[in-house]
Amino acid sequence: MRAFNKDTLREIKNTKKRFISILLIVLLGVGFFAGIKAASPDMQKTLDKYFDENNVMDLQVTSTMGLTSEDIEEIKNLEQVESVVGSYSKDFIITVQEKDLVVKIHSITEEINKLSLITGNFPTSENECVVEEAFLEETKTKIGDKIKIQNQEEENSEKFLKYDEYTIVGTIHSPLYISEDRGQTALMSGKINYYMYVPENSIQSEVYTESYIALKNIDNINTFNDEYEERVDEAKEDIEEIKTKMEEKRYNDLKDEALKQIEEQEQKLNQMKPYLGEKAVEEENKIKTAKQEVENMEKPKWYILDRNQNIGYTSYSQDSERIANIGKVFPAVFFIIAALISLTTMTRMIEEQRIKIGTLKALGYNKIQIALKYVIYAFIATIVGSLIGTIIGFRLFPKIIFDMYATMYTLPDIILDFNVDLAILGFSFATICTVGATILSCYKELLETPASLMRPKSPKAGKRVLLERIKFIWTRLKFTYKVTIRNLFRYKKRVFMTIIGILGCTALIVAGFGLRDSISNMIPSQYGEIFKYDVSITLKNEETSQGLENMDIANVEEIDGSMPFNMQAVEILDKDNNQDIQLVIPQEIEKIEQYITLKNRKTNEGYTLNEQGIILTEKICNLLDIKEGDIIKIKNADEKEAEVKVIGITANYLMHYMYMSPELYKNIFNEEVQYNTILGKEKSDKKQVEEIEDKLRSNSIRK
Amino acid sequence: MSYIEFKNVSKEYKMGEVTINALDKASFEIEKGELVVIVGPSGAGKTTALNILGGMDKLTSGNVVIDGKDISNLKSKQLIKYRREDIGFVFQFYNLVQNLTALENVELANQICKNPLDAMTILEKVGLKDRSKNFPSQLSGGEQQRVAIARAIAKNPKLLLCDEPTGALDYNTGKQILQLLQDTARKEKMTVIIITHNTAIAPMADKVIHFKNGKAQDIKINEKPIPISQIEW
Repeated sequence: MRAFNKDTLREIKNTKKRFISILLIVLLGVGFFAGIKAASPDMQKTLDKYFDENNVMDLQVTSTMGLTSEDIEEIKNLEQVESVVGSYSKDFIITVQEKDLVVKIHSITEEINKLSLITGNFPTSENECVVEEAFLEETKTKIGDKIKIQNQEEENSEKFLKYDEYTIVGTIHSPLYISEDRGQTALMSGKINYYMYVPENSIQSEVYTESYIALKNIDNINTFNDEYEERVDEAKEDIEEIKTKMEEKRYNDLKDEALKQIEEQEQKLNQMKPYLGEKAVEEENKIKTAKQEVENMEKPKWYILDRNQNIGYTSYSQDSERIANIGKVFPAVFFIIAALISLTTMTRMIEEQRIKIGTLKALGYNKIQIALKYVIYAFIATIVGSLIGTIIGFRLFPKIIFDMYATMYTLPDIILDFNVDLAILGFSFATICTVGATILSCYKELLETPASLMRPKSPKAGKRVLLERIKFIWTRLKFTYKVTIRNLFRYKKRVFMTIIGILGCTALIVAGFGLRDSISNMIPSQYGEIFKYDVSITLKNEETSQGLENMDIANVEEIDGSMPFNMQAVEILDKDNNQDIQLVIPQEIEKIEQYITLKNRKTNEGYTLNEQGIILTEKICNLLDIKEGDIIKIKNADEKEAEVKVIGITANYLMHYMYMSPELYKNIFNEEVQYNTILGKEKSDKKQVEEIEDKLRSNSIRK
Repeated sequence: MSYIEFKNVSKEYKMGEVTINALDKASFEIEKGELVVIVGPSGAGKTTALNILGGMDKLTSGNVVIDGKDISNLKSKQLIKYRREDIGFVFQFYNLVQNLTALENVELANQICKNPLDAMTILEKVGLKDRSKNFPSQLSGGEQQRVAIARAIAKNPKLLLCDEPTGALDYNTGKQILQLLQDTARKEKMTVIIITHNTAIAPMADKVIHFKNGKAQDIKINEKPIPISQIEW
């Protein structure tokens, strides 16, 4: 080896501390970068693998009137569909340990949405069930205990479940519920507490409540990829094509059956007529209304849902995106620090080695050769640091982040990948920082003549500072302070390095606290400042039309005023990104102020609704690039489209909302507003929601 | 025309608003194979002259011609080549590379030259054959300076420039070093220029140049140089 290169390598050996300091900061920078960046893909891969292994549905079809085996067969015949299963699910109130709980009971499907058995075993007889682990823990039950189903005969004469009592034989975990959210229900408080599974043959429903669909050749595509979404959308379109046909068919079948029954009755009546006398008219009227009812029968409606409608899946997906976003900014700080440390270290090293550089120049080595000596030094530190950094980073950070989320999700262990792209990217960034800093710090020295390099560097000339003009301060300063102040202006580079270093660290800390604060403040802000109501009562469909007047919520003494609202999901039609959003229509626009604050976040100026247009929340406007005065296209729940003007953009912290006056709704959709929600305020701050709930439930307020 | 012509060379240093004339129209000539001693008080411009001769510093005005080549206006690339091929430099504080052994220090110089001498042979010549694997920190000052001289000679340069080569050494060691330089000049027929502030050693040289106030004030030619061993001071 040439003596010149030997020197470079021995330099590393002889200046270990310096070398290691660069190595360590690179390790830290690359480790953080690679680790945090890898967290999101690792999280996504973990879920994807879990979903693949349990063969989680890609699509789900439900119908307002259930699905027949004919429907299932029809879906199965679609080209993209690998397999379809019909399945049942229904919400029930159960009593355990004298406490009422709401559970969602599913039928066990073998092929799709496979359950993972945790303890015990799967049901072997029809009156056995499996529950989630938390159920046993929280209700203090154990395997072998019985669960009593409460509200069996709610609507039809036919029971949904064959038995009123089920024995717990095991605990399972369902891939449909990875988060803690179990969904909404019309029962009790509106929240489902647990899910449980029973064998399919213990359900006696004639029709399936939903069907789960797995698509062909989709397991090798990551569920978070755009390609997956495209495939699912394609399949959705296919189903969409048979949707109307099957809806129509189901409608006709139901109608025919009903009519057939009525006809039978009619025939019977005709036979009996002579004997009935006056009663015959009454019966005839009955048949008439029955016929009328059949004619007015609502058509069944299919809903095609994908994984995005699964609460656990979406929140996990959002969380992984959140981590990806943190990965965009956070590691940059470490790279800046890496660059700074390399700059100081290399600058000092080169300053110390001025004479050596001079000697090498005197011997006839050129600038590039000499610069390369230091570049290689930094580069080797970077290579080693990056390598160790990525290895540690890829193992450590995704695991830490995943474990933090693991308390919120039920998932198998994270899959840790060595992501080569990220490793190379992190290494490149680190190289730019360290090598760049090295070149920067030796550049000036290399331009000097060997003669001046041999001479000790003349110290920077001390300068007078502005403060000296202010005599009465300067004369009172001690000597050391005077020196310090002059040095501050003498060595500007060092001052800036210190400032930037402290700036970076302070920014990191403040950002950390800020992040925590803004997240923890979001909920109080939304529910204190923006949503001022305390109670929200959602009415069932039937009640919406007629029940409002009968709901005398004001009679509940704890409530200090209430107002009906219409809340419905509408869609904003954007060129490439349709967004679902909650539409809120107050009955009286002047009074919305008492329940929901509409104001500009920056100026605090309030908005009032009018017939001219809608008010949108801030974030959705940012997402879709909507400005005040823009005209946007929306589609309501009945698939009617209309154009509206945005008259205000209001402050909001959680979710997206659209506010509209009832007059405007009537104008654009040509239909009356159905008030389906009542918002109320409590008199005291005691948060007596449960009492209010009880009173409302006990029918006392219904005249 | 002489081998080295140093004609009206001026060198100005600008220190802030003050201009210092390190060399003020200095002129001298040196013949091939001569052993020259430059003497003079501190700040007289000796080192500046040597640096300009060695292509290590740029002059403000004047001309320097060496072996028929004007080096006063060379581009930096040509200057590097000039330093690499034609010049051997010996410094007061040896300036050895601490990470390299004696042998490697010599190799550091001769590995980039066109016609280098063998490193080991040269080390043998300066009497350091046994210490070739030692690092500078393991060598005495005199030994280190001998390595430095070996490093300079190994390049087989046209000019051997020595800036106070004995400045950091004791009397006897200094004498040995000067002996080595004198021998080198005589045996290898190399042009050697030695800077010193010790006027007592002037008799060893073929030519003695006295510097004062940035000028070569007095140039004496010794018809009969005395071997260094016979000089006492």
